[in-house]
Amino acid sequence: MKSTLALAGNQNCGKTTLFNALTGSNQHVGNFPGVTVEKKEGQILHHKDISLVDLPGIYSLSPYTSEEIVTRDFVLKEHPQGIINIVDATNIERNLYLSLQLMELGIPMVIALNMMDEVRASGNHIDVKCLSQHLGVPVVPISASKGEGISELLKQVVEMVEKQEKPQKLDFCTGPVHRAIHSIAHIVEDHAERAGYPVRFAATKLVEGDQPMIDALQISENEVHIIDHIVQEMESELETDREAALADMRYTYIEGVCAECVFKHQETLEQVRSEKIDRILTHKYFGIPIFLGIMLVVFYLTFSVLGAPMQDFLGTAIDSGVAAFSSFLTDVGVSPWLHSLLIDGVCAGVGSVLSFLPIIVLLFFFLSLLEDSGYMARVAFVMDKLLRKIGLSGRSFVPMLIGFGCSVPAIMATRTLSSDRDRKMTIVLTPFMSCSAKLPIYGMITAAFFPHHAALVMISLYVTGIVVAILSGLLLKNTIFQGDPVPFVMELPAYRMPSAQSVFLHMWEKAKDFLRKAFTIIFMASLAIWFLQSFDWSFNMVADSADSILASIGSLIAPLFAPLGFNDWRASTALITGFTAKESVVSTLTILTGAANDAQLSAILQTIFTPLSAISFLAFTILYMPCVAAFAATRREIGSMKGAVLTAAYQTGAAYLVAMAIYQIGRLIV
Amino acid sequence: MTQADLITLVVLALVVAGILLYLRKQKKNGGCCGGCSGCPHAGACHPENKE
Repeated sequence: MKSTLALAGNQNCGKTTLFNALTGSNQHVGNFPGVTVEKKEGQILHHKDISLVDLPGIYSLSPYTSEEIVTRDFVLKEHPQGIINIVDATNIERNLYLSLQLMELGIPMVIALNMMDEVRASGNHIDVKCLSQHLGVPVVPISASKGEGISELLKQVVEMVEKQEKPQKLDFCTGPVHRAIHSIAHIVEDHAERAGYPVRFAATKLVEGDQPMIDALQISENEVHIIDHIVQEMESELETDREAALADMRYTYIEGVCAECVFKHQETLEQVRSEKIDRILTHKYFGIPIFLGIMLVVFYLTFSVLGAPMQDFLGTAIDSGVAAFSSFLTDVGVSPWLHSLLIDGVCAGVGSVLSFLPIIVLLFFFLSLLEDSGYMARVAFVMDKLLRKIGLSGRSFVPMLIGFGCSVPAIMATRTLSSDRDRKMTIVLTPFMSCSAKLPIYGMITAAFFPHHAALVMISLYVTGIVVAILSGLLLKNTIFQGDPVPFVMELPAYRMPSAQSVFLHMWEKAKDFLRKAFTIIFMASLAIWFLQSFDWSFNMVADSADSILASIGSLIAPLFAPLGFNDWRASTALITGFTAKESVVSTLTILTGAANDAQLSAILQTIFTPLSAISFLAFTILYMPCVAAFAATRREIGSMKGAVLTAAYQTGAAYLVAMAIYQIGRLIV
Repeated sequence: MTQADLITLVVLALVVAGILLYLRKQKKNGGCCGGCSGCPHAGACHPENKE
């Protein structure tokens, strides 16, 4: 028979690392709380009949955040045959808080005590046998990242599945809380059994005042009054509210267990080191300048020192390949029009985008290093103050950070925000964070106009996006989205040495995604662009693309961009095709200019733009509406086409105003 | 139209059909995310977006 197990634990305690170790899969792992927001499933290695579900990290089983709802729904409704509860041994007290709640579910459970290597390294000790006896469940010491204790854990897991032994201890309380839970358990016993919920868990949740549980148990109004009366008695006896009473009960029990089983005489080395580093990196005044400085170094290394020679090398290799393919087509007697379609259309379009692969991979190499080290979590903390000023909480920084990679998952990640106001506002602002698909556009324009100041231009572009998001936030906060942001509580993980496997996995995934896009969407877009720029409305091939279908469409729109400084049909057409995918702006301009290589492209771009209008074009590109995939994600998350269209119109309007201001003010200065 | 043109067009048509089928399959399956750095959905597929 097939068994399903749940892998549950706090955020950033190593769940996904353990999931990968137990299943042999390679899910994304990050030193960042909240990496998993959806459940993922895999088969346990060498035990194909046992599947493991990696659940999002949570601190309790109260249904407040989407992560808590996903985890709670799974353990309550899917009835797994067992739970592997991963506990961070360096933060054992806080982690056991969730363990006690999981034990109340009455599902067979094994505790995987992770990061025991760090506990040992700091000279501390945890008596695993003592812990197991007190909690009434098997406890296995492991180090998921080093693979220590995994085979012992597997043995315990298989035993748990076979024996189906439930946690032996469910009662952790004494006094008024004990009386309240037991009285309520008697009242709701029948309801809980009918609904398929463990009685003890249901009673505890009712003491907490958990509304979804009240609804699920279908308790009568009379019974609700009795329960409220019991809870009020408990509150007055303890002189505290219901939630605090239960938290206090659990922590009192945990303190007792830890006093006997955990021998801690000092903080772990990682904690001491992290505190020292944090004093500088999360400094009240220097935190944000340090972040900007780090990003400047990242851009300098990516676009100048390492990226430029790698891009030149790949560009030369692509040009040689295209030249050889072109000679081959001529030799086999392919007609000139078909030769043009393949070389000037497909090869020019796809090749122009492909040459940016090293830049993309390099940038994500550095971002992965920063994320895996734990620094990005600090940036969220540093940004909280700034984000609160524009009416958002620091939690919105996570989707915004993801937006630097791709707007689609960033918009989807707003699901983790509990407030609807924060969520909608973040969806509107996230596309202002420059996504990686726009990098080829920046690279193309920078190479043509500012080859010696690439890093500076890049950081200025990213800052422009952030500044416009801040100004938009202030505007929205005082108009459409009035109200206060929800408080932001985030755990800062210890700084760790980034794992080579995780960093290379990020780079490979990014490269794969980029190549997939180049050979599908950009390929098709290049074919369409070549056709539209090679034929007129009577479908006769034109000698000059200025007489083509595309030119006539582009010329209609081009005057709109005159105040922005680029009244050229090729530029306006490129912006429109950018709606399919932002990389299309580069492939379109390459096809329309007929450039055979990067040097030629730069020379032709200098006839279309001036340095000032090039900046204005870049500013418009960063800010205008995102690609069709991001637009679809916006419609899905906002829940209406009208909302998505208004969002896109706002973004394009903001892009137009900013680009126009840059060009018009720039003209007065230059 | 030469014989080389015909062969080239057939190859191109097959490539285009392959890409369209691939994109269609992706859309039908709800699409799977790539590996954007820091993305909580990286590597995960999205059956909720299924057609």
